[in-house]
Amino acid sequence: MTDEAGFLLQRIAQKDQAALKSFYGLFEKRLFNFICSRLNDSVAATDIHNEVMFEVWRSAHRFEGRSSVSTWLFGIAHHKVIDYLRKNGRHQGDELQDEMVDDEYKDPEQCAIAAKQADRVHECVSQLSDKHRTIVHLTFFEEQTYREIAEALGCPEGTVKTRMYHAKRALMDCLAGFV
Amino acid sequence: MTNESENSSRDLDELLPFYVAGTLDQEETARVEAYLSGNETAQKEVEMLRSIQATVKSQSFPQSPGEFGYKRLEKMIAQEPQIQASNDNIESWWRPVGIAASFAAAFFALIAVQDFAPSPSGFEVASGRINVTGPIVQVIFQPDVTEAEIRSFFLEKNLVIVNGPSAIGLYYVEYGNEEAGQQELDALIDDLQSQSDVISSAGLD
Repeated sequence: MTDEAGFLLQRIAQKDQAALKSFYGLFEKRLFNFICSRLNDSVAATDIHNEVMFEVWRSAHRFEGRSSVSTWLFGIAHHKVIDYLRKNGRHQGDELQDEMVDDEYKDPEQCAIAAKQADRVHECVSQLSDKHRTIVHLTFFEEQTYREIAEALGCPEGTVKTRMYHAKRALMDCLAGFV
Repeated sequence: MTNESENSSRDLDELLPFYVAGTLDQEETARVEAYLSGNETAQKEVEMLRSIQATVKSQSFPQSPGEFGYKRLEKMIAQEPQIQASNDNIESWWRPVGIAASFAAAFFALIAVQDFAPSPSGFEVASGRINVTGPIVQVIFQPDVTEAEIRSFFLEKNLVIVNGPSAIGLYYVEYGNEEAGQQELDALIDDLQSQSDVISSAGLD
């Protein structure tokens, strides 16, 4: 897919609309799922999805191939979502959220048992902060490496690992509440 | 020694989700597997993370925009101003003068704050007129901000370079939302002014 996406992007940079349509088909669902995982608002997600694809049309010539196409695309989507959250007063201070996670020991065995119930996991994931949910989605749903995630989000690799660690702690904290 | 061991344990704990997702390289995978052998707590965490990943991967999302979304995109493209081609021409000449941005700090006080309004006539460049339809903002960055950071910053803020950098490092950028009201534009300027990388910004009439 990477080669195909890169090739399509080159053609989009030359204003080839047929290539854009193929690119749209290639990434539409993944991109939309990512945005939905951040917003839980399908109407806003649809608008942002379009904005991102429009940005691809306008900025394809800026893609330098230093990251994968999907990393570049998710990076654009990430910034669009952040803008949306800021405009709507829903963007929270990042640093505080990490500190708010309960660091009390949670029994992993009990959490593992609770995690077998999908509805509990859904509920716990939905309670995560935006930045933690973003990392969980990109790690588990998109199966991106922490290096790719760092590139897409524009942060150091260590930050991605730390955020994922805190997301895990938050999930354990939530799951322990079901035991 | 204890601290080193704790740090190492924390490092490996941080890798567990990526191990479960199968996205670690060979060396990291081997380190994690060595850590897991004989560590029952970490094994239970891995078990929990596998269940979480299975649930996340099976998550259902709302119906994506599909064909309807693409039609909407086509409409947006049809309405797009012819700015992109002109931007390509701009980029070919502004790069050599980018280094001049490092002198920007000495001159930021020269920037006048003017009322915001969509540019009525656009900018004139050597290759011809650029059709600018959105509000224009002028921005100067700190001298140590790289070109890549500036590009990324503008992308994040929905701003497109229409001219610059000038000899004093001044960028003219178009705000992507053509129909932005005064309040939104004021908020944009406030936002720009609050960024540590930005020395000065102002709306341009």
